[in-house]
This record gives sequence, structure tokens and C-alpha cells, in this order.
Amino acid sequence: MRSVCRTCVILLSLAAACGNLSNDDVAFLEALPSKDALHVQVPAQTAQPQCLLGEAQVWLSAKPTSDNINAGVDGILALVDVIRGIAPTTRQADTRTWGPWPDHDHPGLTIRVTMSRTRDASGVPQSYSYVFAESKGGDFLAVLDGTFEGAQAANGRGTLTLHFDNAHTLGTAKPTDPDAPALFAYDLSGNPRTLEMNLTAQAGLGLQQFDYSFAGYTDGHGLFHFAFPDAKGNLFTVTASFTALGAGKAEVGFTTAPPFSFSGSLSECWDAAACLSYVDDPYAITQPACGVFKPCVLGSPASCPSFP
Amino acid sequence: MTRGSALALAALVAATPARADPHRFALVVGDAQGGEGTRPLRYAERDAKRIYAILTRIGGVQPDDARLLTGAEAGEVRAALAELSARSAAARQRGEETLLVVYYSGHAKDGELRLADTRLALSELRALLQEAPADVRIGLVDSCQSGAITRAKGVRTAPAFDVKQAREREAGPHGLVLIASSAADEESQESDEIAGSFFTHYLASGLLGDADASGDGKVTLAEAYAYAYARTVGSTADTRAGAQHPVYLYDLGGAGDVVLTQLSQSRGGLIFGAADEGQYVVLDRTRRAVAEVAKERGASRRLALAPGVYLVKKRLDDAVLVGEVEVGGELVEVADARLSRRPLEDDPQKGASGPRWSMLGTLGGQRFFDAGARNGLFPPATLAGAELSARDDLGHQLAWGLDLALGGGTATLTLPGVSPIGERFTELGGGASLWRDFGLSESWTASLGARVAFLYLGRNFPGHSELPAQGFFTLTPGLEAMLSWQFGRHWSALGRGRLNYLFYNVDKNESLGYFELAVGVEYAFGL
Repeated sequence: MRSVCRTCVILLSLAAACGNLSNDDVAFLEALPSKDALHVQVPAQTAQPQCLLGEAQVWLSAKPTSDNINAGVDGILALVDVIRGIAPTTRQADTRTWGPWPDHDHPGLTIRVTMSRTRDASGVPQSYSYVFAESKGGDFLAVLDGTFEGAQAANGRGTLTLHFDNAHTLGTAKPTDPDAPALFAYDLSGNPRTLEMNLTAQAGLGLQQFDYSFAGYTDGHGLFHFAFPDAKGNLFTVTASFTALGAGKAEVGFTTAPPFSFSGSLSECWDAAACLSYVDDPYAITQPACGVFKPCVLGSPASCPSFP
Repeated sequence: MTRGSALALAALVAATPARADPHRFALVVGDAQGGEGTRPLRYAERDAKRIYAILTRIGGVQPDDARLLTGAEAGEVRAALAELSARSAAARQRGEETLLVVYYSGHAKDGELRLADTRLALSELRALLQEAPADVRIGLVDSCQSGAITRAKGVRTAPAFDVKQAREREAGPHGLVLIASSAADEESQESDEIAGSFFTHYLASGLLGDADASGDGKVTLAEAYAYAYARTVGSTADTRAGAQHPVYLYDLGGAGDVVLTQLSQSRGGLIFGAADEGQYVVLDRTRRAVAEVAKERGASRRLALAPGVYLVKKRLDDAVLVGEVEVGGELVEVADARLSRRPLEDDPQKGASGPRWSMLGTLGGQRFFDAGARNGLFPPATLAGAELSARDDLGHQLAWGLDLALGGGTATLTLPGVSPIGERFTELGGGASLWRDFGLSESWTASLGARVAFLYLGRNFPGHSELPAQGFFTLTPGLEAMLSWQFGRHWSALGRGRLNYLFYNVDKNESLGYFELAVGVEYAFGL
């Protein structure tokens, strides 16, 4: 009799119990990267004074480039953020599934998200993996998947792979999107936190280079590596370091525009006002006043900031 | 024994000169448990407390000279009786006249009073009274056995209180009166309507003043018996167990009248006006019958009540007259013209007058027993609530209520490997309760009951935009206990505890328990 009553109470409560109050859901969501955590943070340069040696174009282009990178990250994580607003469809101890639900932006497609984790003997999460997949009615194709080592995205390492190839197959890709997977890796577990984007195909996301990497330190200084073209079609490869105030130095590799396709490199430093303080340009690529293909050294290397 | 003979006895005793007021002693015993073969009585102990209160308030018995035993064993009764006998003997040595009253309400079977798991033979009690060193010894035995709505007392086949035999064996020099609540072949009965046994209820009503046939402000033993006899027989005539006839042994050779209560010892009380007639019922704050008044036109009738708030009702053929009175240190007149007329359906029982509504405000909190559940899911919360309750709506001292409480707070969610996450939560609960009130005294009431409630808990995570708000809704059955203290006419303070069950089914299926504690203030409407 007692067991019958207990069963009735449980059934009554079960029938009435509903909601998404879940500590495990929080744990799963905490393993997903957030936009703010993956943003490249480069000091903005707003006012530009008259400069004796000229403007530091490398540095002045860094902020727009980082904004483009951040916009690309936001685009990727917008898909991730979809599941933050909805409760999992099914819950198991180490698995969560959302959907499938209709993709309102792409009629005829359905979206399904699966996420799983591994835990050590004490129950601490060790790794997560997740797949955002879409289907036209047949098999689900991954449009985004990710891995994460750790328990909390804010201080762990992870990867995101954007499957442009599958997006093209599903018909959801934009014409400007690459046609091969793009890899985004991040490591927020230490100092510096590092972010890296690797486009394994041609141009995409508004960038002319296949990869971009960034390392930011807690004191505000950092370094980045990327490439950009100038108005003449010359391609520059930049490896730059900057202080929290915006001063910095860079090694710039270049390949001139066809038909010459001549390669070389130069060094330059700039102050917090983004004015060049030192230039060592053996071919006067950036300083035509020095003469054509003549070694050009302006300013003092002592003006260059030092980095740990 | 007929009503006519009882009245004749009353008249006979009333004709004799009154004796000097003796030094009075009282032993009052109530025992609801009759041991093996019996069912617990509902009102035996309440009956004993009523008689004890009357004797010590207007019966001339000083509290030091009175003993109230409930749930006592036979040995304790013997010891108390021996102690009072010794005190009586000492008083007599000082030249005082003494009177000893022994009252018992409880089970009797096979000629024995049932006292917990022990027995006390009626013959032994009779002998103890006969031998007690008091000028007047009065034994009042309301022995009983439980029934359903009208509960039976005693056993039909058990010997009755044989007053004749006792009279034959009675040889002492002092007067002895023995009164039993029913004849040898009858059952004594309890009633839920009056929340007591018929006999004791009418005995009490009589002692409070309604038995004062002479109108001299004193209720004598003969008056009380005659009144209790007539009202008991009349009220039980139509019960399932049949009419109940009290019996007596009266042997007060040479003695004068025995006054049991003097109404003047209570300054406060009710006066029923001479112009009105009919049957009135007086209910206390818990809506239990305190006394009845069967009044004829032409003479006023006084009830010596303790200070308090009472409800006076008079049932008519097509309606019921109801009025509330507050008794303090003065007499309050009751007149039909001052009573409110209500439909009969508002008075389904003697002890009820429709729902008594009250509003309760509470402040308290909840805490889950399971530490894991307290971690973020159901953290301890402070709750403020309101409750609307109705008493006397269901009978049997049952009450029901609807409640709503809102609370919340902040907490920290700790997950393995994850930095602590602050959360802000809100809790909303509400439910329906059913409970029973147990009057502990005039101002204290204990309550026990059950409740079915809903619980909603929502939380968000300030500073964590990546985490969505969460919520959970469920039903939670539980038990509750309350202790309330009435400190004003309308106001009571109470403490309440609840023990609840909750079934959680999101992360995993889990049975959880939690308790709630609250204090509150209740306002009763319409008193």
C-alpha cells in the first residue's frame, strides 16, 4: 500500500513537473565559446596627427582587420548561440540534443545539435564535442562542429570548424564563402590567450590571407600575424607586436604586384600616436622619398618598444 | 430513574437548609485510551478539563486542592486520591467541613475503569470514596466506549454503577453521592456536534448556570443532576445507541444541600433576558460548545463563563440566530433582538456556523535537505506569503486554506571545473491545505494537516549573458503543523512548519524533500 501511494505521488508530480532548471545544462553551455571571449582585442587608433616619418599603415590597418575577424567570429558563434535560447530536446548524463527543428532562414532544412562530453572519475568534465548539422530530409550534414578541452570555455582550449563545403551542398552558403572547411582555434587557458583562423581555401570572410593569428596578454599588449594588400596590389605579410598604449613594431614581408613579383621585407616601429618612429626599408617600398629600390633607414631603432 | 423523580430529588434537597461552605477538594480524571479491546475516545480528556476548569473557577475548589489527571494510570489515581484524602483529613482536624469530588471520564469495561493499560475496579473506587475522610464525597463517573458519530461509552453487557449495592454496603458516617452517566444496560455516548460526551456536556452546562432552577445563583448537586439527567435523556433519545439514562446513589443522611457552583464567583458571564425563550448554544473561539441554555420566558438565566469571545446561537424552525459576545469582567446580556438571523444551512451542526474566514500573512523560508539540490537548483529562499483559510466549513474541527508565497534571493552555482556562477532566483509557491485544529487552551491552538502545492522556481545568471534563464514548475505534496496564539479578538500569531516532497526530473529523476518554516500574523474576520 505504501509503495502504491508513493508511486501515485511520484506519477502525479512527474505529470506536473516541467521546466529547464538544470545545472548540467549550465555545464554544457559553459563549454561553448562566447563571442566576447573569442574577440580579437586591438587598441583602436582614432585621431591621427601629422607624422614626421609618416603614418604607421600596418598599425592603422590592424583595427579594421581585427574588426573583420571579430565579425567573422560573430557569424560563426551566432549559430552556436542558437541553442542558448532553447532547452535541450533530450538529456542524458553526458549528452544533450537540441532539435531537429525547422531552419526558418532556409525553408526545407532542419537543424539538429548534439553535444557530448567526457568526465574523469571525479566527475569533472575533460572534453566536449558538438555538431551543428542540417538536413534536407536525408542525412544530417555538419555545418559546424567543435571540440573543447576543459570544463569552461572561458579558460580552455577548443576548435571550431565551419564546413563551407557542406553549406554549399545544403545551399545555405553565400557566394563569397570559401568552398572548403575553415578552422578556428582558440586557447584561453593561459596568458596570452591565442586565437587562430585558418582558411584552407581561397579568399573568404573579406580577408585576402589564409590564416590569421592573434595573441593577447592580460596587461594589454599582444601580437598578431596576418597579410593584407595595399592599393597597388602589393601583398604584405605582417608580424606585429603592440603595447597596451598602441605603440609597436612589425616585420613586414612583401611581394610586389605582378609582373615583377619581387619579394622582400622591412621593419618599422611606431609610437602610441601611430606615427612611424623608425623605418628600415631596404627597397624603399614604404618610403618612396628615399628613392626607388634604395636602402632607406629613417629614425632610430632605439625608439622601438621592447616586449617581454 | 425518571425525569420526574430527578426533579423530586432536586426539590427535596432544595428544601433542606444550606450547609456552611466546606473546604473542597477535587480529583478530575480523563483518559481517552481504554487499552486493549477499546477505541480511543475523542473527548474524554476535554470533558475532564471542562469539569476541572468549572470546579476551580466557580466550584469553590482552590487550585492547590484540585488534581487533574489525563492519561494517568490507576496507581496515579490512587495516589492522588490518597493525597487529597490526607489533606481533607487534615482540614477536618482543623475543624473544617470538607467536600471531595471525584470525576472520571473514560472507558469502563467489566466493572473496571480503564486507565491507560491499567484498571481500577468500580468497587474499589466506591470503597475509596466511602472511606475517604471527607464530610461529603461525590463520585461522578462518565465512563465510555467510542462509537462513530455518536460514540458509545462503556459496554452494554458490563455491570452498571450499582448505586443500590453501594448504598447497602455504605456504612461510614459521611454522606456519599455517586452518579453514573448511564444505566447498567446502556451505553454512554459522545457527540461530535457538541465535542464531548452528552452527560458531561449537560453537567457542565448545568454547573455554569443553566441548572440553577431556583434562580438563587447557586447550582446544587441535585439541580445539576436533575438538569443533566433531563438533557441527556432528551438529547440521546434519537441517537443510534438509544436513550441514555444517568443513575445515582444519594446518601447524604442529615446533610443539607450541596452547592457545587456559585455563579457569583465569576464576575463575568452571560445573562439571557427574561423576555426570550428557547434553546441557546454557546460556542467558544474554536467553535466548540461550552454550554447550552434551555430557557423559559419570564425569568432571566445566567451563565458564569470565563473571559473570552463566544458565539451564541439559537436555532429556530426556519433560521438560526447568531451573535458574538465578548465576556470580560461584567455580565453581558443576550437578547434575541441583538442576534443576527441566518439561514439554517449556515448552521449544519450545533458547533458550526458556516465558514470562519481569516487572512494570514507569513514570513519564512525553505531549505532542501539534499546538499546537491541546494547547489543552484533549489537554494534556500526567503518567502513572504499570504493565506486565506476557512474554519468550521467542513466540521470535525477541520479547516482548509489557500496560500501563495513569493520569495527569492541570490546563490552561487558550483560546477566541477567551472568558476562559481552567481545566480539570482525567484520562487513562487501556492497550495491548498486541509488541517485539523486542536485547542490546547483558550488562546493556544495546535494544528496538523496536509497540503498540495505548486512550486515555480526561476533563475538567471547576472553577468553571464551566455547562460539563459531557467525555470521549473511542479506539484509538491506535504504535511504541515502550526501552533497559534490568539493575542487579540481578531489577531493571532503563529509559527508553522511544513515538510514537503518534490520530484525533480530534468537532469535526472530524483525525489527531494524540503522543509519550510514561517511565522505569521492572522486576522480572523467576523469575530
